[in-house]
Amino acid sequence: MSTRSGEHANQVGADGFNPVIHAPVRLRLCATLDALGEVEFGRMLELLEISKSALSKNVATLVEAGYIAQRRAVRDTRQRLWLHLTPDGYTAYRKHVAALQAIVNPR
Amino acid sequence: METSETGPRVSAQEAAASLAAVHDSRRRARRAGYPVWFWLVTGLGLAAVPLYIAKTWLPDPWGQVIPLASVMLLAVTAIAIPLGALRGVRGCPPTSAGVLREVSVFLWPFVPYVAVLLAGGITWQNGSWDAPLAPLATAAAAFAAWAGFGMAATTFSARR
Repeated sequence: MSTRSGEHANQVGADGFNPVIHAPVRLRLCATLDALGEVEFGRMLELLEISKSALSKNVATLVEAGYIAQRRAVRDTRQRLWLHLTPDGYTAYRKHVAALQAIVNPR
Repeated sequence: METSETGPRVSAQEAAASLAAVHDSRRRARRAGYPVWFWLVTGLGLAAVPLYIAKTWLPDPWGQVIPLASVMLLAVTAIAIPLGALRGVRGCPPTSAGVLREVSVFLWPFVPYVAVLLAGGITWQNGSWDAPLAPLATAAAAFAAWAGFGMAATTFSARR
């Protein structure tokens, strides 16, 4: 595991709260990938309604943390970048959402 | 994974706002996953099944036209699913839970569809309808069951 990934792991709370995922764009990105599976980069731009540079930056952060994986494949006869959650990313996202729910509705 | 225990890092209000953003993203994603045309096109393909089954019961030229139309509609149906990939979405999540969820969304509309086919078949066999009308009525009902249920399920998923 890279040093940066280790740093991200250290930031995760015992309740599953994950500061890396919690950033607004990254949270919406993970929610979209969780719902759809694999999404092409251009399609993700439309769904999130953000700039290309903002999406690139946030994708890079999640890739670095090991939460998102990228794959190049053809769409409309051109090579495109496809994004999907890794198993670690899926688990981290689910735990983070559970942590948010616990904050909103404490027992 | 090493963790830290620092208690809640955000207020309940901020957490609620984040959850609202999650729900909004899921709603947008669901709409992107299965659009109306998907249900309509696949519904047309599946509605051709009772017509195809009935082809031997019908006199010519129906015996010629219906198999051809059925093959065309089924071909369109087969093409419709990979067309989704051209829209930038692949409904095959890498996680097992995601696969199950996607499969369940796709399989549920088969329940009313198969029920309509069975009901149509029973009515048909009992001779309650004229032979040329029964498959057409069954096809129309099968289309309505598939497309209607599919679109309703998509809308429900989006609001979940």
